[in-house]
Amino acid sequence: MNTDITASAKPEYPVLDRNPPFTKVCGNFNTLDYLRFVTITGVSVTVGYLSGIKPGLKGPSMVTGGLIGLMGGFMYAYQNSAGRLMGFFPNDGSSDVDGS
Amino acid sequence: MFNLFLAVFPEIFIINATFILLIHGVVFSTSKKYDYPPLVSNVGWLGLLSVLITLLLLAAGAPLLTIAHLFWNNFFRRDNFTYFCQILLLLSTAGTISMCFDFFEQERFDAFEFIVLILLSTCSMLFMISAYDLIAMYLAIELQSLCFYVIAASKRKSEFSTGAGLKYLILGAFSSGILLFGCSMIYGSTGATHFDQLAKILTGYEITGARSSGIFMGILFIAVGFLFKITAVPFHMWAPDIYEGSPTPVTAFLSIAPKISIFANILRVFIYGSHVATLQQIFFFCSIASMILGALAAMAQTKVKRLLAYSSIGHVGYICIGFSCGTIEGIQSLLIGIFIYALMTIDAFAIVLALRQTRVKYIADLGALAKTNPILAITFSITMFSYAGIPPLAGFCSKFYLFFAALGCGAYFLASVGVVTSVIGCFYYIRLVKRMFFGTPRTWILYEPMDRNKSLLLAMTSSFITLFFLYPSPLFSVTHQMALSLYL
Repeated sequence: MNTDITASAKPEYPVLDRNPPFTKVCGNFNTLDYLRFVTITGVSVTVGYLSGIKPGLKGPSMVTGGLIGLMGGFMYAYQNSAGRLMGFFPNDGSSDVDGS
Repeated sequence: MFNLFLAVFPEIFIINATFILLIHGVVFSTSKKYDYPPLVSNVGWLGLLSVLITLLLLAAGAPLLTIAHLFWNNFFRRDNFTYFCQILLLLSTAGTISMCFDFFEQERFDAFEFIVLILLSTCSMLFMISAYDLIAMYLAIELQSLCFYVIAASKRKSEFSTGAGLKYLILGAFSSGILLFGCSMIYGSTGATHFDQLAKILTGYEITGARSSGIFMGILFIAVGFLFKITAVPFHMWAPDIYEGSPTPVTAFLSIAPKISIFANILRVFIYGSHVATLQQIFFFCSIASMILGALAAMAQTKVKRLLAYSSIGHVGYICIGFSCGTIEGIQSLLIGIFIYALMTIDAFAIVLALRQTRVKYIADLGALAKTNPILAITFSITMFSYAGIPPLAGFCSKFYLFFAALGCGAYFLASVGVVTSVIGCFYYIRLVKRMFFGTPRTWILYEPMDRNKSLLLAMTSSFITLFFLYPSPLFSVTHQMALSLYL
């Protein structure tokens, strides 16, 4: 299996970690990432609740919407955080390349 | 290694969301505690939400999605072209789902699996667009097709819908068999299924001898399989019956989404595989035949959905002009054509769904629509004029660019057939407009206001169709970039 990260476009910003581990990416979530996570989850819960009114399924629909929103919000936040570490999104340009 | 999965986050999300919705639907639709509720609308809204979140993941993570531009043993490729086609596909899916909600209520349609299958087929089409190997491509095509066979027959109480599903199954399986046979002949002759390897083997390869005849037949069979799927003449026979028999939202989805993904596949297979010269003549013929048949056959139609089906066949012919040119301008015009066609078709089918409220099935039922619902009549007229290619609407810009590309590569006959068939096509499009504004209704018509989702969708799509000519350069520059990324 191809395990190399071979980007077709070079990172525009300083590369902090070319292949950051899962825990580092989660630890790198900033306020905006948490805000995105919460917003997407909140919107999904609301959509679930509102769409569940008519069939009389408010609670379960809210939970399903919440699950979808949690997953989507987490993936969106993870994507942004990993992108900052890999240099694809704007970061603060710290010289901590590969932990050195 | 985990970060490689960042490249397929949109697909991972939509698959997981589909399974969550499936479990939700199965558990609660059979729940005695909640009195066996109808869940199609509930799952529909959550499905629409899932598509929009997928779109967000794709759009916001664009630079990151290319970190593994050859992913999973080089089975998939992520680049600008993939990005553009996937965005268009997701927008089309979101548009199709959003026009369904009123249909579910009006027709008392209660199969939540419909939405689950649409999401699953969307996921398969996302994989299809990024497929870079014959096996990956075929598996994605099959997953998409299986979902379509079922949703075509989803209106179980209607024999037309059941018949449409059965016809689609038989003909779709037949075309998939032809496609697979072509892939196996290519593999048997070259030993390769990956597009890069095929390009290296086939570039400059002379078609002589037994091995090369195997390659030639393989390419031909793959082309025939694809032409079946995009309803190009002479492989179009199934389309009008299936489009007419299927529920209207399904017809809308079938008219738009598979064409985006199959055209993306055609471009990948045949541009990368460097067999454009071989296939140029085949697509040249199919383009001319589709344009002519689409124009002439639609004139005899009396039902709105069948007319739109033949119109769709005609438009496939116009879009194939772009591929027949074999130039970057041709590919660019194909991408512009697909984009504008998708938006026009969403618009047209949203209007057809709105008209179903007043039980409009035949063209004759459109009589006096301008008096009962003038805004809808004007919107439908704009859509029909755009389909006809009347300036300055978006349809004209798309046809102009396609014919311009044909003239640029010396295909004067192709361009002239396109112009003549566009003029013939004006007849049946303007006949609808004439019926709406000057016809008399066959029966009593009750005015029923359209639901908010459809009105919002129609406002967006008709605004685009009307105002596109003012600022077309963003679409032109994006599609030029996508066309270049195919060749580089």
